[in-house]
Amino acid sequence: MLGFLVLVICLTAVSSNSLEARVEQLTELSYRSPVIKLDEDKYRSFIRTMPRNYSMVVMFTALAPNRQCKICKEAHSEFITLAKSHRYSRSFDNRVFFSVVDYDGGASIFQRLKLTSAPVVLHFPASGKRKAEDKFDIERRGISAEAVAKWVKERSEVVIEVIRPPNYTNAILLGVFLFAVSGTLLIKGNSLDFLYKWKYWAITAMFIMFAMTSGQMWLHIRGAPFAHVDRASGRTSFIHGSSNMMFVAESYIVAVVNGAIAFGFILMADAPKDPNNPNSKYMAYGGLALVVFFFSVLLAVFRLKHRSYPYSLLF
Amino acid sequence: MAKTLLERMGIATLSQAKKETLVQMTILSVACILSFSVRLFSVLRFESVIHEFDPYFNYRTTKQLVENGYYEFHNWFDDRAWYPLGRIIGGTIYPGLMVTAAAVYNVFNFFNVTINIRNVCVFLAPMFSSFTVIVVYLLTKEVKSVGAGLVAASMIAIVPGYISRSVAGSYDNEGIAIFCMLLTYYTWIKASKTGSICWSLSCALAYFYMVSSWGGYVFLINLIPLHVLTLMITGRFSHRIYVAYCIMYSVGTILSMQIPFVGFAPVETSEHMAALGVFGLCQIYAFVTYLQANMSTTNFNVLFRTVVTIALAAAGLTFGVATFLGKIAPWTGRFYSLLDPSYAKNNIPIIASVSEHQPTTWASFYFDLQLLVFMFPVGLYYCFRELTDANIFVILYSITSIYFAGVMVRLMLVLAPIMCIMSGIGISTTLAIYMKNIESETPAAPSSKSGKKKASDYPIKSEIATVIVTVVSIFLTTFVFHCTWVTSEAYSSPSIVLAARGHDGNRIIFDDFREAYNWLKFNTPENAKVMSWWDYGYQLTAMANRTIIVDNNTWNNTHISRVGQAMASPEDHSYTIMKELDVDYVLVIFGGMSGYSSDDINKFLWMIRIGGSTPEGEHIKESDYYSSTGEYKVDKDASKAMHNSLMYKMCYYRFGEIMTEQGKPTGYDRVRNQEIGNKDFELDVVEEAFTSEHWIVRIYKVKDLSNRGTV
Repeated sequence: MLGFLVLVICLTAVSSNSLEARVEQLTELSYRSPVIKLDEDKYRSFIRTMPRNYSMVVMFTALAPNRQCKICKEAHSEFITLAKSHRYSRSFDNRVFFSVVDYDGGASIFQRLKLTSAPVVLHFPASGKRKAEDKFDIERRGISAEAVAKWVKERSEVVIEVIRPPNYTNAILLGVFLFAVSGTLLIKGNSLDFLYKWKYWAITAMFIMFAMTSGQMWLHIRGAPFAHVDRASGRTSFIHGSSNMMFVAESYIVAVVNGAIAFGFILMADAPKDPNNPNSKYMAYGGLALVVFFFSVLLAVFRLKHRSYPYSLLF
Repeated sequence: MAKTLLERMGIATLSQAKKETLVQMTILSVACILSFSVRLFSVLRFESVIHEFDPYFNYRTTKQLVENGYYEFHNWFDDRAWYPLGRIIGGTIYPGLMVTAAAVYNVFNFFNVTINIRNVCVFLAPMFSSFTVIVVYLLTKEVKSVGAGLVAASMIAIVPGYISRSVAGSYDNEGIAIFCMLLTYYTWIKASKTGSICWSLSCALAYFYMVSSWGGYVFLINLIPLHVLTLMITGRFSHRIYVAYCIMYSVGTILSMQIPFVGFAPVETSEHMAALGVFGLCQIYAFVTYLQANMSTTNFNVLFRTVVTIALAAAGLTFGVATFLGKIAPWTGRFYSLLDPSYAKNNIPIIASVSEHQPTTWASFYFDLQLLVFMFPVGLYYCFRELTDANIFVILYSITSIYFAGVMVRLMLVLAPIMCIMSGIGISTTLAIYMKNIESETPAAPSSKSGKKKASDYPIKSEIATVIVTVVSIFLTTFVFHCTWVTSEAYSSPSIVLAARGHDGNRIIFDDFREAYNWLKFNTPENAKVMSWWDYGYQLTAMANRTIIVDNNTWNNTHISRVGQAMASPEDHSYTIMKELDVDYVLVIFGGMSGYSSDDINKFLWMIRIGGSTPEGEHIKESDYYSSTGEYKVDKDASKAMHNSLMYKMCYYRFGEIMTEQGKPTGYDRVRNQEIGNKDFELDVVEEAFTSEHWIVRIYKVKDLSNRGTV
């Protein structure tokens, strides 16, 4: 009886000891790097060994360059941001740990969990079995650190406020730009006439103009495919049939058409400028042809988007 | 015959200059009348009614102003909205619009023209668009020439991008704000050209009017400093600009701070810092110029370098400390969403849910501006070719506004005037060149400008000129057709009264909204609280005069979220929320019967998203409301959460008994083209109180707590 008691005590001591040891080890590891890299052994000892009083959030991913997984890198950096926010927050405790399993070096873990794609984020709860919700729904929720944090909060009740490191890219770009400007000022000295040439400014302004009127900003914000290929018929359509959607190809077409009409007008108006130019007549006619032709094109393209639009010019 | 008529009218005897003035005045007045009348489509088709949502709030406040005077209006605490919080109206709105309407009303009534305040509100926007025509003419005249001014004025009269916000009945801030903005620009250009204190003060006053009427004044107070800065960099800064800007900025800022809603923002928030910075820069620039004139070059250089270094360091330090101490307000959400286009989409669901904040496709640029889209760069080209101070201003205006219009479709409104000005310049330049060539055949009296170079300027024969002038005229004609078509098709429905074509081609009017609001007004107790999605809040308070929970002034996200939760939760949970908010009636908009597509079921996803965005709404998860295949549906495949949500039940209550289309089963939703999945159910916590003729508005009464505990 006594022996049994001793044995029980010993067992408890051993298991709690090892749990404590593991937590300590994990804490230490996460001090070293906020996201713990798991290999086969660590995976077994930290996740598969059962009495646990901590949650594990594990990202399964494939980071090796030869895997060519672009989204994995993005997701990974977001994941690191999240782990860092947790690690350096005041409320850092050992209720939840972040770790990552790379396919190269952990393929057997992938097989065991029957994972066929990457990246996948799984939550291993402190107690109980994994449920369906313990798999992070990347497709619906996105990969941003905030989305993952919200999900972690739902699953483990650990609140993590995502703190993004200040983005230095803009500052560096600004620095380079300022350096370039001041460099030009130093080298060129007083001959800054090129800055006062109106043509350069006019070209820049028009570039902005055509970019905007052809909907580049819409594409930048919403994102759109270049064109649409219809699987059934194999036909490619460059112009979206709805007036509040568009394709990348479409915006280029419109920018060119608008540009051609504007150029035609300028040609027309500038033709009589130089009285000695024998070609001025052809300039005027050329400009006129450009304007009429491309305006008709524009109307035709617009009719594709607005079926009920009643006007057309040449065709 | 014509000659005799002219002689009879005494026109033939006028001098050339007077004839020109007469023609200009005629064109301008015709443009003004046209701009007024083209905006009356909706009044003629329906009746003199106020449109949409926000105008109803403006109308209600204007009525308050007219009936109770300015101080009552200024101190107004509205207990009919945002129950139980209420809303301070006087300090949270731009009062310019209401004051203007009240002034017009009072002037008319003073002369015993007894016009109703509602009609003043309906026709205010068309009236101000006529004024805009005149201001655009004046502005373009200052920038380029009289001819360009007339073309631009005629264009602004009918351009759809501006009409969209200023048709009769759209009684909103933008309706007068565009006039104020252009007036400020005109006076600014006058001031910077003349350097006179009088024009600078007019500019400050115009700016004050602008600030009092629209939050978009921030654009203006950044554009003018940008102009000054550009002039400084290009070496065009002069005493005229100095006088104009200093007076405009100091007087304008002090005046703008008199608007309670603006308050101390002009000296605290970062949107206004550019103006302050440029103001400081002006002083420094002037001082440096003064020193330069009174010192030797070497001494000056030494002094200049030292001061610049110290100043830069000090400025950086101050900025850092002020930001750190929180003295400088962070970038406000709306402004930031302009600079970083994806900011709003990612961070604020309410901003993302409003379609006015969407970016602009090329199709809507073309739809709203037609040939201006490509005449704009032409005008820009000519502005660049003859750079003047005023030209630089319009160039800056055009580039900044086209950027903003690209980011937010609503800001098309700011872009439209400059598009007209630029296109006016482009078209008028082209026409002016070729018109002369047509004239040159007949030995008519040369106009004052072209007389000198006449002989050498006309190498192109008049046939070509005739062809080109004809083509340009055809283009302008298509512009007129396009604008009229767009106005008639897209911008002339009041959205409170709907119209559709029946099978036999007859027009069917859906007047369900007013029917339902009037039902509320006459059949519910005076103090009843009505819950609806925020879109209908302003209309409810203005037309039904009942207390509402949330409205279109989306200032309290959690309150809106609470309403979203009530709509998206199952009945028993909703009931606790509705009791907590003390709701008596619930109003939903339902289009399944009539085919009205912007109904609450289509907005329901946003209610779920916004409802689930606060801690109280944790039980609401967007994914629960999709079918198993991840689609948003209302038929059999829809999820349980969807079928059991209060919104679904209130919209489809007894809808399953109805045959909506021939050859389709009962309960066929004509908007989503699905047969509803949950047909036979009873409502436990609410009871149907009223359903409008075409089922667009359905009102439910929230039952009292049962006096015996339910089992």
